Amino acid sequence: MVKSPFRWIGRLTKPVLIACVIGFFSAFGLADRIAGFSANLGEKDRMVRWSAVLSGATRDAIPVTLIDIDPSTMAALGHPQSAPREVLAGLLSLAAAKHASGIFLDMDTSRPGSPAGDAALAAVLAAYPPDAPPLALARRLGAADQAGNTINALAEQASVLDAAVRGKPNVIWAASVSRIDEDRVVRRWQLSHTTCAPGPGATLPSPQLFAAAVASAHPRPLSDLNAFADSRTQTACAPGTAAASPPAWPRNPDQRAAIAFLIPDGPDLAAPQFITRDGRRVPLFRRMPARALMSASGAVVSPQAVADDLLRDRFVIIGASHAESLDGHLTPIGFLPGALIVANAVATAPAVLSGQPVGPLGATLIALALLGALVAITSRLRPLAAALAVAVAVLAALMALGRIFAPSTASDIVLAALGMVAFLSTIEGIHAIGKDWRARGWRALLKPEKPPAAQPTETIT
Amino acid sequence: MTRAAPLLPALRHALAALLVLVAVMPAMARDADMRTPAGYIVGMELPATDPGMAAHVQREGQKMPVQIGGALFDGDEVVVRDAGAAVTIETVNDRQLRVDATHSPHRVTGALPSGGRFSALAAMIGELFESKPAARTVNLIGRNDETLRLQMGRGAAQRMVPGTRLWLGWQGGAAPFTIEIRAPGEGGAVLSATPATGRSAALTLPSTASGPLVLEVRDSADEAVQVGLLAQADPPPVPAWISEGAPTPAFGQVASALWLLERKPAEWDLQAAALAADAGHYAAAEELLRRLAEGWKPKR
Repeated sequence: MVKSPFRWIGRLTKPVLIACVIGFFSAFGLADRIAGFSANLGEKDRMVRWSAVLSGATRDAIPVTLIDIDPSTMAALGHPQSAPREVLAGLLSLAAAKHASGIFLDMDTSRPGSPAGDAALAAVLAAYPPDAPPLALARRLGAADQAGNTINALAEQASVLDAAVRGKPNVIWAASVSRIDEDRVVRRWQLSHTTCAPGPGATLPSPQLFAAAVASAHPRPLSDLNAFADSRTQTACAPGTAAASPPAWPRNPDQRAAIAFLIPDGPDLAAPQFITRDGRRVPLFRRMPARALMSASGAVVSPQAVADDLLRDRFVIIGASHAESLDGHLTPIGFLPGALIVANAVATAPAVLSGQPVGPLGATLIALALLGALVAITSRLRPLAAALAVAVAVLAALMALGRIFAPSTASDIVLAALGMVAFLSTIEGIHAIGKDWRARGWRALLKPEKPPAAQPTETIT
Repeated sequence: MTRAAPLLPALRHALAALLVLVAVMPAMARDADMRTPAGYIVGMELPATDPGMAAHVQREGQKMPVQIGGALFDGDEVVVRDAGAAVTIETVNDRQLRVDATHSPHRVTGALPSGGRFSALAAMIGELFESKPAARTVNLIGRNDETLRLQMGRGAAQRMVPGTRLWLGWQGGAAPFTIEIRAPGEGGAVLSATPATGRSAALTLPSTASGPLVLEVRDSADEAVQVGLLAQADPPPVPAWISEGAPTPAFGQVASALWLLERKPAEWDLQAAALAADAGHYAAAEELLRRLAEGWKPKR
């Protein structure tokens, strides 16, 4: 059979056509989008974000309002070095008067401010009524040697408000600590912080643990919190003593659960905007610049001037996002002020803390089962169909597992199963090359050639 | 039998429509109970005494008080009566808008996106095709406050008729602001001082004003910008045919403003802005004012 001298034209047709299509797309800027699509698809933090939205993180979510000491507030106040404590005192009184469900003052009070400001804030706290909303104050944690503590890396630092809040049943100290991964991104919370020295030791809850306790239907929510803190302290500081029964609350005390980042630092259609609470549709998150709650003279407005919906029955965080607060962190959804990280953790805390707890072994077994299901589904499919099937199965698994376990656990399991799929594919590939190596040598690295098409049999009649 | 046959599909369609209606009606009733707001009130400039008289929200025939953080729904009207009062709103269609007596009543439209898993999924799939936004660093020197800039009426001393309610818009600066009309020179007598938290204000040139004056905007960081005023009794020379030929009074106001803006020298710019502001809640007038505040000038 004579080979055609122009057969190379046929071979080049396909690559030339592909080049033309890519060139056409590039002329309209579409090639960049396609490249960006594949890059976006492989981004780990995007997976984390998707799983946060899809795995039921808004189950029993706590509506949060952030009163934000933002750049415009600082400008209106004449650019002080830090937020004046007179203003914080006014905002705190306002949130209490409007019957917030709980309040977290996310401000460092370890150093004295202006005498008048410190006195104003201390006076508000000293007169804080027992029936006012539960209040948590951020405790500064410092280097261990500053407090003589050698067991934990961070030790509690004194505050100018210690004397004012001592003995107050509804005012507690909280540790707002997030775990920072090796790539400097905050993805996980720390549920509580225990220090064992000096003294008998103590456990500070995180704001999200405090908020979840306050949001629970228990008539004395802080008793649950105190029982949990005592148990943690005993476990961490006196492990040899008689083991007390583990606290009944929370059901899933995951110390390092992934934070379901739903609330970004700007408008975002992908985030859930509203939740249903007591038969009403309420915004999951509201952010109000403190400036809007201040008159032209800098004083906080009266409660009558503020709508009930903004603060009533919502967990209120008084925090800062201005540059001088130096409290910004990288997260899977971008650079966020610390107060917004707390808001994300608080809003989604009930879904995590009420989830079915599962240990590492259980999580691994579920991930293996998911791997088996993915392999079974995709074994007979072509690559494109297999990819679509995996995508659908992963979304379904996130939704289903997120209803049983904590959303963070669901996303951990699904990510582990995907990692196993990638590992299995690699092993399969190595095995196939190894099998071919004896027969084809280094050519085993190349795609196997297609077998020649069968020649039609001519029938001579 | 032959006539009954076409009825069968018709009956099927009717039954389907009924089923749809039955399915949809409870959902509609539920939606009415759980309305999604269009936005919120984010700022108020109301007198301390009787703020309810200065401004209110009109909702389904009822007067609602104006409160910070209060929700606004589709169909609400923000009503500002007091000349010195204003309400700042943030809604899905208006973004941020300062409603004062000149622009009152302002009708709110739309509803905030309600989210949900499936809309979130759709939005996230859309995100895959979007390029990442360019990052911007914030250093400790930049405080996110732009410099205070007043671009209206900077070409020449602005002629104004005493008693005119003038409108002023500026950019940058740190709120709150004070707008003063005073006699020129250091320590000149102050004729009026108007506070503002937004970046525009309506104020009246006192009827007793005369001669050269200074209009000054000062922010909370004590930065100030000025324009010169010249109070004069003669009204601007706007031809009568402009307003007489206009299809509506508001159209005539805007057309007169544009005519004034084209005069040389540019000494009627503030009077033109006052005319446009006097047109009330009229889209063309609002757009003209916005552009004037941003520094737009007609080719004279």
